Amino acid sequence: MTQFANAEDFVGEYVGVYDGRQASLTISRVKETDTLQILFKDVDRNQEYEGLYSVPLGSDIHTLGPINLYDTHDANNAIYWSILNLHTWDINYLSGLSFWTTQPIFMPPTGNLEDTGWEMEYGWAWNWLFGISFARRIPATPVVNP
Amino acid sequence: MGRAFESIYDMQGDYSGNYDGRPCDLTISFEGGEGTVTVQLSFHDLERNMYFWAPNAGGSAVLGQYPVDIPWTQFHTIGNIYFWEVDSDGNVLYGPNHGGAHWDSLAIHTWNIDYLSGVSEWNGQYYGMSFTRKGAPPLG
Repeated sequence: MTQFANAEDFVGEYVGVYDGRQASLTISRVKETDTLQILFKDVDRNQEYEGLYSVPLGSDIHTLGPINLYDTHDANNAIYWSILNLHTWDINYLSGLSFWTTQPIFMPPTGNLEDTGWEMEYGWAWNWLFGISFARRIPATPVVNP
Repeated sequence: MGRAFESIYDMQGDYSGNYDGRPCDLTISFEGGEGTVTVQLSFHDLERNMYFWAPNAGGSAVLGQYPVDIPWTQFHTIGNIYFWEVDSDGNVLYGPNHGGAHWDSLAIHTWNIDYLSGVSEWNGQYYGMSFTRKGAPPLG
């Protein structure tokens, strides 16, 4: 196993399960930037999403999110990952949670949902979290110092 | 392949998994059923050989006790789970050398209940976990 060193460890190809459906994930670095390009495929539904996420790649950040991913065939269709964790004791594993709500989010400047009054108008929204689990397609090998 | 999610009771079972990169085992069981139900989790960090037990995994107003009726059973996520550190027989370990654990969220995958994913929290940071069911899923 290979332990986490820095945020660049996110880069790689993964296969896994997205709320129980077969999925794949490719994370690559946008050339010479601190931006990650995330390409996600829901294999069972034959849907593909992509997005960008900025993080200092030399930092010790092992948690990304929230991440917006847009349908590559319909930019109006997006999914939202609230958190994506690279496992720090073995970077061959990634897991997290996807977020979905029955209501649009109208977050007021105060950050307090009660200030919107929307729950009185629309009723409480149902918020759902869905599981995400990936393993690296080709396991990372430990770096051996000379 | 496991079946689709039907109710929170689908979480019952034995799992093996990966906890922030370390292999682990997890058992989820439900106690009670008349009006309230208690979710219990037993967790074994195999690499560190540490055991944890959450006797009433909940964190809501009444710890771990949820109404059995709809809509709670529709939910496929539990959260704010506090664990005690225990020995291999399940006895709670007290003292400065023993601690607990806190899981922020644990979700069963709704299209295939053989999978769980979650997030633990420690010292203000979040860590990932994922599990795969061992054996057959509970009857629907």
